[in-house]
Amino acid sequence: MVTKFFHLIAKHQLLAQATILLCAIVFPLAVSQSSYVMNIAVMALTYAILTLSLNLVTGFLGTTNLGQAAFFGVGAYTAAILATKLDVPFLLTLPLAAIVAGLVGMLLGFITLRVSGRYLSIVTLGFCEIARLVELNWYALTRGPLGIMNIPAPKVFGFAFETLTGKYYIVLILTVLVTVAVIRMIHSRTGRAISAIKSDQLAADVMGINVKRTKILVFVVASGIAGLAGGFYAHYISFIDPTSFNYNKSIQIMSMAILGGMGSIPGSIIGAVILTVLPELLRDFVLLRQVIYGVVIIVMVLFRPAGLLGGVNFKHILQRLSFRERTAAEGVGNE
Amino acid sequence: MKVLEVSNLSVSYGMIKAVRGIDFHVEEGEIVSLIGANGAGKSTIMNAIMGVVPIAGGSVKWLGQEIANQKPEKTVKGGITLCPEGRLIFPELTVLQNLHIGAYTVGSAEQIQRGVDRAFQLFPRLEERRDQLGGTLSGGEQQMLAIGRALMTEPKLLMFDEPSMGLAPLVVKDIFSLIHRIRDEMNMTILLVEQNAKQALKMADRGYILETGEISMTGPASDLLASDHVRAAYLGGL
Repeated sequence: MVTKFFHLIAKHQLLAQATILLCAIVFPLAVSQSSYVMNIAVMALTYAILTLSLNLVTGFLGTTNLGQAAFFGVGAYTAAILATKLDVPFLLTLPLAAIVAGLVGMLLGFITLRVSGRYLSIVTLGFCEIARLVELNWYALTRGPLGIMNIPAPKVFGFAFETLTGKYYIVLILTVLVTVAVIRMIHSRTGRAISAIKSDQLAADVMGINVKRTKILVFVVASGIAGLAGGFYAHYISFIDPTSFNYNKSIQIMSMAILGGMGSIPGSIIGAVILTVLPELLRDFVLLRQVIYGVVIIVMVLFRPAGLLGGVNFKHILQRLSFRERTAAEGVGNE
Repeated sequence: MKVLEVSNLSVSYGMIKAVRGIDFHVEEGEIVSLIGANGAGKSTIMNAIMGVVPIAGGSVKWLGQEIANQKPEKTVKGGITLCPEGRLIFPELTVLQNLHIGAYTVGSAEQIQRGVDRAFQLFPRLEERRDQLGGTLSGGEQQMLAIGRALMTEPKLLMFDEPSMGLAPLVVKDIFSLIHRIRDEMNMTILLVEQNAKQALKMADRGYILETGEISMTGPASDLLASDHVRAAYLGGL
């Protein structure tokens, strides 16, 4: 049944994408702009951006990263500080959040060139903690545990997006832009180099790929995207403090990437949506909530270890289908 | 003309000296085979020339320029390509994408297209499978792809690291005759390391015998083939 479903999507990829996008656009009307539901939707899309960014590093480049929340935090703090202290407008805080996070990502990139495997998990985890501690202790800049309050709502060309629906559309646009950017990157010459490095670093080296530069580039882009999500988040939630960006958040993002499927772009979005919505659906089972959440993940890993869409390549499914149809037709013709 | 000149090259992995001060050279248009058993340091030499393994001492001169410890990227751009041991096809990329990766350092779209056409012409099998993932090819097909990929840069010196590894004897024969053809048709210079000493010496102009990181014998390939020592050690007796 699952296979049939994948076949159907493979045949109508564009239609599927258009349908999903259309559903996302009319979604606020469908839920009559209920603030509870809209809030979940905004967070789901924010996490989708974060999961996409993590998937670049972990799914496509194959480098463990438990520090993605740090870049989310750096982006959020950058936007918050610029907006509250210097009155920088939203259209500038957002790219600046991405740039600052990208630069910090470059730093982590350089560090990770020297380590691999489980040591990398420790290094990235440590990096996440360092970022949190800086946020907690650099009082003059971040107000430490008090956090930063009254971050203005997103404002574009004089129009303030005060309503949840308005903010939802902003994050929806960001999600679409990031998705397109990630897809383009993966299918570019650099994308092939990334895949080559993941398969075999020595072979990539021999091909003349500058492995170091490519790895750092991926870190910069992924961190920049996470920073973008952070920048939006700060303006959306209007209050941030260091607890929002600890390693728990990193692991949450990692769970979403694993559930959706490593190296799958639609998987990243689906994983983020499911793991944001699921805990809310389980609110009725107060005590069992976390238990069910855990069981879902364990069952997933047992029965679909590659994630919901891990290793599912619609282009290849389509190729196989058309090949099968062609040979079937030829077979009939021969008889 | 000596295009590649390696002198007193040594390479270490930590405390272990894998290659100890070897000298050899390759003349333009030659096929040179380095023969040696497991652990003789053959692959290490290739990787050191490419720049993927650090060189501890000695020099590597390419067209008169010192290239020791140069970034592999530069070596490839300079006209040396390695067809690595075990083929190292990228399993998650398609046949066509694998070829494109081979041309990573190539800027000209025309040259890339020429390379793809050449690979498909040499190996029609690859064209049939152009959109198939590299990991799903058979060993022989992977070797074809590896050769097609190595030719993408149109190198002056093409190095093969054990092209016969894990292939059926009949396929091995094809591959070796193909290497000969490539040299003749594309005016390339070829350096080859092999365990399959007989085949490798048969097709080569000259050969070097490596033993535990040192060169023990050298000479025209036909002389080496006739030498009792080589026959006893590498060709399975008389």
